[in-house]
Amino acid sequence: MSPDPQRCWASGRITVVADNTLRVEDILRRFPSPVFLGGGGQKQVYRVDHPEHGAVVVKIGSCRSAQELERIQREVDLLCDLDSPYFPKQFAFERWDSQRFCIVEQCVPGQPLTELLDRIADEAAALGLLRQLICGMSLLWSRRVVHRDLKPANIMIAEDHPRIIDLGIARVLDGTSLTMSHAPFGPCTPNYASPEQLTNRKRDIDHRSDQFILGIDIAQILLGGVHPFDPHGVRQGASIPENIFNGRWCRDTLRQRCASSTYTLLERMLGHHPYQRFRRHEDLAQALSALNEG
Amino acid sequence: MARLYHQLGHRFQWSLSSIQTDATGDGTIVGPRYMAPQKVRAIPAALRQSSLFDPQFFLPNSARGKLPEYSFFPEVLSGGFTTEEWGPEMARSCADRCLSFQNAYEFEAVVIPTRFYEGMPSNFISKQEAQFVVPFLQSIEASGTNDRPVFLQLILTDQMLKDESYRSELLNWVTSYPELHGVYLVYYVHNRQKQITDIQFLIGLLSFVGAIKSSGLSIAIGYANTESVLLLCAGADILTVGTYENLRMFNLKSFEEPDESPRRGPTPRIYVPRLMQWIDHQYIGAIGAVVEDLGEYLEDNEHSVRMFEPTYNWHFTKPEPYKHYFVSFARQFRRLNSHGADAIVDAVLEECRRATQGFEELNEAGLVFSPESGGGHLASWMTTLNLWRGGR
Amino acid sequence: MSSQEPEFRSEKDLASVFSSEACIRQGFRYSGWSSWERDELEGLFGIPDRIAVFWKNDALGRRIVRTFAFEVKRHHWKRALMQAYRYASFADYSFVVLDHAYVHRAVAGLSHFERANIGLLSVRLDGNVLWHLRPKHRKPYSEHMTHLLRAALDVHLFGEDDRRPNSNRASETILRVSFKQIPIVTRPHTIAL
Repeated sequence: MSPDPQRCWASGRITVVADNTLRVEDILRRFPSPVFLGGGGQKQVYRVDHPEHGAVVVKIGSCRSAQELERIQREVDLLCDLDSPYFPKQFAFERWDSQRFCIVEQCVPGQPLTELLDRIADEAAALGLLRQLICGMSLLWSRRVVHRDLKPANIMIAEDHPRIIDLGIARVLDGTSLTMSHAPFGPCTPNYASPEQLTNRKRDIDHRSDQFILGIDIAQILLGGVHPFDPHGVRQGASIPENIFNGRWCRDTLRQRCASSTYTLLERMLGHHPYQRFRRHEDLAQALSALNEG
Repeated sequence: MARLYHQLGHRFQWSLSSIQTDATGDGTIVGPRYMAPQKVRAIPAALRQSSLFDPQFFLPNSARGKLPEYSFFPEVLSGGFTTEEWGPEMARSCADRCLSFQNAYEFEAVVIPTRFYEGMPSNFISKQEAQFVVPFLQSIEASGTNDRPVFLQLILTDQMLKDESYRSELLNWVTSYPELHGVYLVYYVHNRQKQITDIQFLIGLLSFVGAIKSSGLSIAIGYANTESVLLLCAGADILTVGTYENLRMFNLKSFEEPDESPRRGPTPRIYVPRLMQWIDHQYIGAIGAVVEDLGEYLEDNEHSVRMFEPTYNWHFTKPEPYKHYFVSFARQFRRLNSHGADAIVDAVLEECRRATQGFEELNEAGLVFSPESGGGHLASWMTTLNLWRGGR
Repeated sequence: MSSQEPEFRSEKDLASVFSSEACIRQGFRYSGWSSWERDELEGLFGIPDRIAVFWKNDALGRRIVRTFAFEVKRHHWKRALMQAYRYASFADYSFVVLDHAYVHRAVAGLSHFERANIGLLSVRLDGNVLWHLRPKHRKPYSEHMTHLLRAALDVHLFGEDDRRPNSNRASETILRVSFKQIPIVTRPHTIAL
């Protein structure tokens, strides 16, 4: 029996569908002019014009495990709770059997930061971006949630303010972790991961891990797109993760590219150990404000 | 600027009297081992507001001295504390009662106690969290009266502080709590002599204190001896003085089961600021015989006048040597403390150099000090400061 | 490593052979003096292995007392020097007594003894005492310790009245106990800290 379209989309929350024969085409048939954005393997992403919500992104996927599906569900729950302009609004989440799902979320305007790393105008702009990202992330951090994947690809730059996407590997500090405990490193993108993520020291992963990744992002902007831990820039190490692990980054180059106060701020954000970074996110925000006033 | 607190214990009345009469302290750290609740109550309210309460849960299954009079003490509350039986309900009840006590007496901050662990246990953090930290934080949040700063007590062994990796783990853990305002640190040194000379330990300690301060947390250090002048350099906020050595060098003896063998009292010593050392009082005459101005070595105050009457009974039950020390040390401490953060390391180094020179001059004049009265620690202290400063 | 000299097997053997009274009487030519010696007298600054007291009356009948303290060790001369220096707080003369087989090490550091004004003696297996440094007389540097010792000697050696102003009864009790009980008296029980 086909699901009632109105019932599926009205609440914006999880809907479990019993029909195991539902196919991607069945879903897309509900929306006019779906545009395929990308995907691969188990996931496909479309942009459609929703009659009620306007431009939305429809993500249709299949998980390898029930655990992964739970993680995705948690991402949706979290974003529904946030209701913030810094994160895409969630309109619906549908799952059927133990592996397949469909998410409908706001189509976030702008370009991923990846495409703009070497084009952001100046230090003031970079710091402005950082301030906005901290403002957005504070909503997550206040709920003791760690994003863990704040790489440039997950930051969308629009005219008004950035959006942060893909909370797929966010970690709730008070809850049980759903990731494998004994993996050499936990869920992360190795080139944009903190040392404690690379070594999967779960106890040490908190908002300060996100702070570290934001530090990489902003440093990369100031370095004209060059990753601060890149072996070419550092002139040492065989890979970016290795340099992150050993605390080697191009300090001298960055020191020359920005004001000393900015360098001091970034140096602290890139502290090798969490205790060397800003202890509370309010302290980071305050330090950033002080820079702007200065 | 650091504050000087008196670590209260045996003969706490001397400390209270010294603070009141000689202005030798900015506050106190109150401990229930030697002070019954009514004695705590009797501390003037104004002083309590500049004091911390140390619940002394070092050995939660051993309620010695006055500890049984406190209903929140784990051994008392549970009728026999064992780690296995100390479940969440019991832990929470303990936290509620302990915090209620601290809030009732309006101490400067609330202290979350932790227990002592030997060595470097891998489950140190998880155990402290489960048994004390989380229950206390939950209690604070539930009470809704969390306007008072919150300090987490840490009792760390020399092994923990010397191991860089373990130290980092502890720092990452302690700094992960946004609810905390500070750390109340107590360090335990194995096989300790009168003065600490283990350079690796001292550097580890200074690094730990410095890291805590850099993170924005305050740090109070209890059971400190005269090595507290080194801790001034690392930016400690509260440092302590105490009467007997068991209040200036942390150990568990008075919290463990008593042994059967009779114990002797401490040899009365006198603190000589010029030498940065406690020396056997009998050497004072020898120093006086070879120096032009004994006052340059020995603080001259009303307590020293009594002490140097020939018939004075030098006995550890007499308050004068300890009150003399409070005055001497407070003066030296405040003088060093008046230097800014940039200059204080040089100031303490210079103080150590002068002390070394003092010992050299006395040795040249023929004095032969026993090791516990000598200046052997000074070289270690200067080395520590130089290496620690260079490594920052 | 010792010299070729035969050595004592233990400190106790060395102490049993060493006669401080005979040594001082000979070294200081105290032929007309009375004397008394005691091992391990407690209640002072440190516990001297031997203390010897010599006295006589001068022409006006005034008692002159000289106290000598000894630290006996086989070869740890530095430790012995430190201990002997403590005894200088109450004794007019203080000495280190070493096994002659090892005294050469201390002699190499004789300047330390000179600076501290501590005498250096060595004893051979046959009991013969050799003088390496004779200390000068000096006033004991602790009035308190001196007072304690003199007060106790006044009572127990010279039988004088102990009811004098400013007498220090607590400390005298310690010495009184030490005089009466042989060989060693444990210290009185004190508060456990």
